[in-house]
Amino acid sequence: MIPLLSIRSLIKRFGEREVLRGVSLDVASGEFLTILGESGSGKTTLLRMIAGFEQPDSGEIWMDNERLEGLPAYQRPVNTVFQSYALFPHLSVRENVAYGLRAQRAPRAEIFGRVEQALAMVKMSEFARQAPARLSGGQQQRVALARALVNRPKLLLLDEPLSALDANLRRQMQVELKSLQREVGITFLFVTHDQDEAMALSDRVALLRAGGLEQVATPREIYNRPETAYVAQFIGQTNILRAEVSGGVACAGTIAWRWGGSAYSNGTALFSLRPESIRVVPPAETSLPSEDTVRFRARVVTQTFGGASDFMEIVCPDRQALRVRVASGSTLESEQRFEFDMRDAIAVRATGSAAASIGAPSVGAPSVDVPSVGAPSVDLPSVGTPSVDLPSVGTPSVDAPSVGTPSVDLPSVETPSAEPTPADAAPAGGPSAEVPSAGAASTGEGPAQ
Amino acid sequence: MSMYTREYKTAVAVPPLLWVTVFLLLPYSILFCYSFWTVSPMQVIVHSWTFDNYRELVRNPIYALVLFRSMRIAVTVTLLALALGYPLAYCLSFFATKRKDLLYQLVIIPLWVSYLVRGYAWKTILGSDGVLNGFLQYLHLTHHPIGFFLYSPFAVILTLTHIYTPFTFLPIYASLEHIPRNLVEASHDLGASPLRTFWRVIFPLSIPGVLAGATFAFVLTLGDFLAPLLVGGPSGIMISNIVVSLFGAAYNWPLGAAISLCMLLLVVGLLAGVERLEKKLSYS
Repeated sequence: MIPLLSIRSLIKRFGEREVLRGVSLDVASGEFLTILGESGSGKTTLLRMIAGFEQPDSGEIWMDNERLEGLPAYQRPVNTVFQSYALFPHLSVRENVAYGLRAQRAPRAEIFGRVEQALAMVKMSEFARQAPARLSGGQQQRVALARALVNRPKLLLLDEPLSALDANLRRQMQVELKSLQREVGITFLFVTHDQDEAMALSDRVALLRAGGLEQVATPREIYNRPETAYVAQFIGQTNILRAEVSGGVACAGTIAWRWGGSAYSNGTALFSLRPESIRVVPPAETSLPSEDTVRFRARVVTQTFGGASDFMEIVCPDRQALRVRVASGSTLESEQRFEFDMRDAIAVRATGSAAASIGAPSVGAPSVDVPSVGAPSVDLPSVGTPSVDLPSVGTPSVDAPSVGTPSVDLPSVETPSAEPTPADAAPAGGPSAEVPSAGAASTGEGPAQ
Repeated sequence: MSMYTREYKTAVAVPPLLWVTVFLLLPYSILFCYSFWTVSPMQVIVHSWTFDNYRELVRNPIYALVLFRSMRIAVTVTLLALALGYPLAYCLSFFATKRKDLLYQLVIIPLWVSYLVRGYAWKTILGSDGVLNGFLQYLHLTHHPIGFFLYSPFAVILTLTHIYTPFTFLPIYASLEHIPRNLVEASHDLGASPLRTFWRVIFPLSIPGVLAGATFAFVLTLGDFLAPLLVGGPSGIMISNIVVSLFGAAYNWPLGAAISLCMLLLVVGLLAGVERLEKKLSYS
């Protein structure tokens, strides 16, 4: 399948600083792809180069077998929704929406009909005569969307369009944006620094870090199988274990488990272990753990209330600190036994390779991701794990890798919990963890957002 | 409601109010009185109330003639200053990148130079033995000095355009700098060419600056008397020159006051009109 948009080895420098370091990315037609990254990661620059506001220093941008770099912005078949909306203050809402069609000299009658239709689509028909300055942020946002969509571009670029809205309105707009995209079938390239937003909206997420792509994958895959430590930390919260691997055993301080990953047969390896993968072992339990379960002892340092689930800081005897997510209610103290399924410890690379180009995965195909839950990354077959016991608490369930658009259906939007609480991420035992929207409460290890 | 006390507001408001009263309202009130007095044949101002001065302004066609000429010159200068100032401001605001500050200063620097110096400079350029005539003769384009360069409405217009172009440039530049650049990008993004973008987005949004600049140029030109004095000659006389001579050599303060008040009304009326227009055309 030929991708709609194909970016190849794009490099951009501002003076001495290399803002984009050879980014390659394919976007399939009809896809909702999010470029996620911290501020300064180059995500907006990438978008601006596709729109035509910046010129790349090298690299190619292809769209429908046409090279875009040479074309000025006004000749490119893309439209942009700007972060600050950029509505023309001297024109009414209707004239704003009609602007693009007028520029293309569409017939008068057609302009009128299409403008009305676009306004109706974003529920702004009654404001057609108003000046943009008199509209609220959310309303301006809708007009900006209508103004871009009315031109029926092949590709719509959205530069953090929701970042100026307050939390509630933002969630509502996320839902609307997603359904709008399904409705019109236009390819969306969405830029955001908000991982929740990226997870909730996207078919695929491209995580950009310091001008290079770390990983491009479906939200599920990027959460369940992060390729690098950075990805694991940026998407949700995680514990990064630095383990010494030798003789099929990984050993991180006082925690040790069997490990057969060939790539790390010997030496130091990094593992990501999600807080929800670690469970408290009830003191009463005396039975031996299954052979895939790793048990260790640690002391509880703090427990932070977080709605449906609490966060706990624990410290192992070797002073290694870990974060654990537990169901709210019980207050735990002092020394406890903890366990996790060794398949939940995902081997990650220390740094990302810039080679993140992937041949346009077909959107809507039965998602290949989420095969064996909690299994170590594909390239590292786990050593003889005939585990019968089902993936335990907190791991995203295997059920229904929902065919069609990955059912990313916004769990975070529906949960009424406030944004910074980690509560909307899978509490223990819930299969609701389909798209565990990463808890935003960053403690310590998480990168600044 | 307010965070400022009544005393504070009064303290802040009094100095400017006092200033306006002493240096504007009071002089104009005196002028107003003068305009209804007369001068006796003995060259003494008679404090008896009469409309004679205003009647004289209507009766003698010279005043209407000079006023009309002054306005014609003012309109011409305004249009020329806009024609020069707008492209300059546009280029500086949108296309000058590294040398923006330097170029801006270069436009402003003439304002630091004395008006008189600039006036005399034009005199040396345009005069019979001036730089321009010398140059034309050197090129053998002309064989005699051309007289109409200096001491003509042309010279007045040229000098005033030179002097007041920065006054149109400044507000236009400010309004152009005020236009969010993402509006320009949005216009391009929606498929509008640079030319279309200029006429549909940039120019409409800069109209308040154009109006302010035009007002500056028009009002200042209309009240100017130095340029006509220096380079205007008899055919370049403007209304303010008449006022100057009435208050000076002619010693007819009452008539001069009457003209001044008419001019004041004209200018205030114009400013009020522009203000209304500006309110109508500005968006926030």
